[in-house]
Amino acid sequence: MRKQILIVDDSASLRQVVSITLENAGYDVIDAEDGAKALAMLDGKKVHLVICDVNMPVMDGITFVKKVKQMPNYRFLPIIMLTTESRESRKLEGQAAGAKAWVVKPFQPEQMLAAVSKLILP
Amino acid sequence: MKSALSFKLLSTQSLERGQLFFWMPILLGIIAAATLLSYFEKADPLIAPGFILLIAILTGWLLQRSHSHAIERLKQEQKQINLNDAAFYTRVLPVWSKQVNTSHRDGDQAIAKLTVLFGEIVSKLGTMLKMSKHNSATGKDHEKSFIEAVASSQRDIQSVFKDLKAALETVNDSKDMLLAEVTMYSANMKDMADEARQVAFQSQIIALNAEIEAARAGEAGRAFAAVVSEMRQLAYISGDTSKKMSKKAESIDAAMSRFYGEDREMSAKESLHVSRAESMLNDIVERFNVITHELEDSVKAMEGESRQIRDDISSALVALQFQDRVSQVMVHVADNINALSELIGSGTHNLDADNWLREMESHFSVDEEYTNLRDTESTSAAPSALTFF
Repeated sequence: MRKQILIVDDSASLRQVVSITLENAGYDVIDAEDGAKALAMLDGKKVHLVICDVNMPVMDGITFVKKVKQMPNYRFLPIIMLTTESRESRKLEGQAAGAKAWVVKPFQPEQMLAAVSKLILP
Repeated sequence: MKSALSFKLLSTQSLERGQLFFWMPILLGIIAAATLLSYFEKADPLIAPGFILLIAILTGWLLQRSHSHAIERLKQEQKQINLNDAAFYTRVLPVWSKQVNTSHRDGDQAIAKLTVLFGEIVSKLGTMLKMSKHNSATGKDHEKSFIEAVASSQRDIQSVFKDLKAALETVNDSKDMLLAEVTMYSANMKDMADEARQVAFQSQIIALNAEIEAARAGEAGRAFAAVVSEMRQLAYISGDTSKKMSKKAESIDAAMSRFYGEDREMSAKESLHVSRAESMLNDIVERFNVITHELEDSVKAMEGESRQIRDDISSALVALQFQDRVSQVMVHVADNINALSELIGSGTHNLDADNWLREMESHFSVDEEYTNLRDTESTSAAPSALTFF
């Protein structure tokens, strides 16, 4: 069974780049443009990993991660933060919220795939 | 806008000068009065200095009053200019903000479309490379299986021709054997016909002798003579039949000889045709082999080019991620312009740059924004970094 990954980013071009990278590697991809829509998508779907931006309209990435971690079905869902932010303080916020990895944009596809294959749920 | 700023600067300097206009004449009057007092200590010690001091105070007061009026006029004018500035900024800044937002939106949409297009190209190239490279059933390379198929066909053709030649040789051998047997039977038949003719001849001699003996016997030998006559007739017929048989055997022998000669000729032609066909097929397969290898080289070259194009486009896709950074900076700039417009529109005139920049920084998300704020040399974006928690 192919693993499904949810991409949350307000940038359409970034969603496309990440989708292409993951689909070429054999993953199924669904995407949302903000945290609120992503939360709605998680409901009733089997997702094995989430890649999430930090700065987004409606609901930012850190809030989204906190809300996901409160969902009983997704408490252990691995989340990778994909952002332009590289400050240590922001990384600590992500870690405290429950993210498993922090990738600074622009990412190299090999690097992203390495992170995904390491963290994705079996 | 430049003139308004210049006016503000002039106004501030004038306020500082107003204090100077008041105190400077008084200070000079005090110094002058003290000097006169020390020189004219013995005669009218207080009249001249007091008069000078009075004049200095009056002069200072007049100057200060005049300056105060000028400042008041300046303040009125400045208030009018500030109102004009506010109207100017509240009209201009939203337009700037819209321009930035439009550019950001259009750029993002164009990059998104470009990304989709590039993504499709990469995907199609990947599919094409997979299709050309792998045989899904055997896992072998297509060009290898193609070359192997040609080589296998060549081997099959050689095998078929080898079998065909062997079969032709067997047929020829069988025909030779058959011809030899038929020739032998024909010779036997001829010998038998010769023997039968010899027997018939001797039977005629015997019949002739018997006829002579029957004639000698007279009346008693008449019946015997009739029998002998019949026997002689039969011997004659037998001899004639033997001659015919002998001739038929000779005809058969001659026909078999002709057939044998023609068959040899046909066999030689068959062998020649088979050899030519073999040679032609080998030539065709060889040419096909050459074409296949050329095709293989072309396919390899195309695969190499396709792989290079796919890798280049993948790199371009990575580069397009910078659009997100640009987009975020533009959003922040537009938000900041909007905030400034609202602040000016609300009538606030005392703008605090430090507070404003601190507030601006709190929304930053890209390294270049911090770099630009601190006015340090801008560097390109740091290479992507991965941190596991």
